[in-house]
Amino acid sequence: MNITRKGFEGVVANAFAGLGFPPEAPQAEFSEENFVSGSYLTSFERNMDKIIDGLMRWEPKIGKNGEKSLSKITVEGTDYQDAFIKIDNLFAKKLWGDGLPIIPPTKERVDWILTGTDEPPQKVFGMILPRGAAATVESLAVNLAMAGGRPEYLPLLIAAMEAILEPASRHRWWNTTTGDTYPVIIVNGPIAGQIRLASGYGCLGPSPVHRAGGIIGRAIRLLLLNVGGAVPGTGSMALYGGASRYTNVVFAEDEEGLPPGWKPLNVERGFSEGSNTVTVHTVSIAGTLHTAETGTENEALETLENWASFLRLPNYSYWSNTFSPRGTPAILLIPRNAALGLARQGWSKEKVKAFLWERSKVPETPLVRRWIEQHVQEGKVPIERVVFPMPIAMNPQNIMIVVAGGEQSGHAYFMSVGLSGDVIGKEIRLPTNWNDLLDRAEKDLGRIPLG
Amino acid sequence: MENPTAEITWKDEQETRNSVELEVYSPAGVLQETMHIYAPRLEDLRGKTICELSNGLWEAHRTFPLIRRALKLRIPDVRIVTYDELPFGARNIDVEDIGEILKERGCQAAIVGNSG
Repeated sequence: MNITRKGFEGVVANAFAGLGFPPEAPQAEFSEENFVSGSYLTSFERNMDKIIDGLMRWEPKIGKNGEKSLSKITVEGTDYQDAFIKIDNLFAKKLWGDGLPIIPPTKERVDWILTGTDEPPQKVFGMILPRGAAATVESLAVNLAMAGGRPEYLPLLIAAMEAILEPASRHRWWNTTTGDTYPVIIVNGPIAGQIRLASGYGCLGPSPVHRAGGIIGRAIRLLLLNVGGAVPGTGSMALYGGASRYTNVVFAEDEEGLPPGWKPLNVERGFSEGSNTVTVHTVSIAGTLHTAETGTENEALETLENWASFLRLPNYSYWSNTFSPRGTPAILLIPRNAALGLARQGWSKEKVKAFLWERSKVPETPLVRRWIEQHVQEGKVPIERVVFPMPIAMNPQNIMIVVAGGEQSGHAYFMSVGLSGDVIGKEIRLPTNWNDLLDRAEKDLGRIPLG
Repeated sequence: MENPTAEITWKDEQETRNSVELEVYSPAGVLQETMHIYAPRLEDLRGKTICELSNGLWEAHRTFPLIRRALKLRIPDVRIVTYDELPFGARNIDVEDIGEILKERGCQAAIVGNSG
């Protein structure tokens, strides 16, 4: 029996289906006013018999285990262009896609993309919620094809989806919430340069030079929409969504730009030097920090203080699921020259984190206190850790610092957490024909540009 | 003024043929039918124990007592373990072993709320 508020019926039915129940489970809807503090519950009381009947009588049909292959659709056209447009229109009618034109996922194209992995096409990574359809290697390849992907992108997409589907990632929450969260995928290792993933200028945005990030990020969004059913208004209740959701954020750490003594993000998190990995988290607030001068000790302190002041902005989600040893309140992107300036002043990554953690503690206000009390009650913040001003993370090392962006100082970038789970890292597994794929990429796209 | 469309010729509809066929995959993934993974419904609730699991949201502290009272009116000998005697909050109830925890408390059925 689902009791929910009007407007959320689609979301709840979707979510219930994602847990294995058929979508026809009984539901009772009430207007939103019933669910707010101090409301009258008269309509609730009036419908109590319906609620009790639903609780006591309904049960789901018993099904059987089994898989179905991906269905196929045939479209005819007067010529290739006509068929192409018809497929795009058909997908739009079926609410498949992200609203932008897609590349038709033909068998030939999908088979080509599947050469990017040694995994069997029917391998299941998990169910993408709320809808609960299975994410298979094949369905990943289909959505990567729609996004305009190539086979050498598939290993990274697989690793990212494995991370997203880890229970600790809690994608069920952030894929459906009213908040405007989106996944951030940070890549380490030689794969980044090999597939032309951006780590420098414009690394978070569109680029004809570094196409991989936008395409892989778009494929992730298509999977969350098509397989996971997170269509705005029915599967996802994000009030605004946000432009970043089209391609999410997929970029590489500027490992060449790391100052001496500053470890790559994945090595900090326990992976070996030089390994190909993804680190996955979700954010909802992001923006440029207009100060990143670190040439002198005074400049460095001013800059760090400015960064801390942004992190100090009260964010409800700081003390939600991420206030744990495995969560993070924010990801801070520092360009290489700013990082080098800090290192020359004697600032290690750990020292920067400790400073930011201390200086970003949030002062007590009635609202902040109410948030924290709620999170304590829900078991998200241990009561013994409550102190004002309140830290934004359990420990300094929970703050993530990544060297990335255009080379010069001047700006940094912060991405603050939304409704999130743990930060998840996964190794990227390359296929045996990896070098052949890279050779083909060079033929198709030209040599990898320098810089 | 000359009709700008005068030069356009239209193909005879009867002569138009679809000459290209494209087969594409559905991007919607695979829906797996699963075994009924939940406990079968009890025949009736007389003499049984029902547990409440609350995420603490959307006025659950007010709706649970209403449901509790209605159940007791229908089934006087039902026993209800209230949500404040059990794990509380979304993080604490959304755990793998919640079923075992409820069994240890003698629960034979559960009500979980409130979504939104």
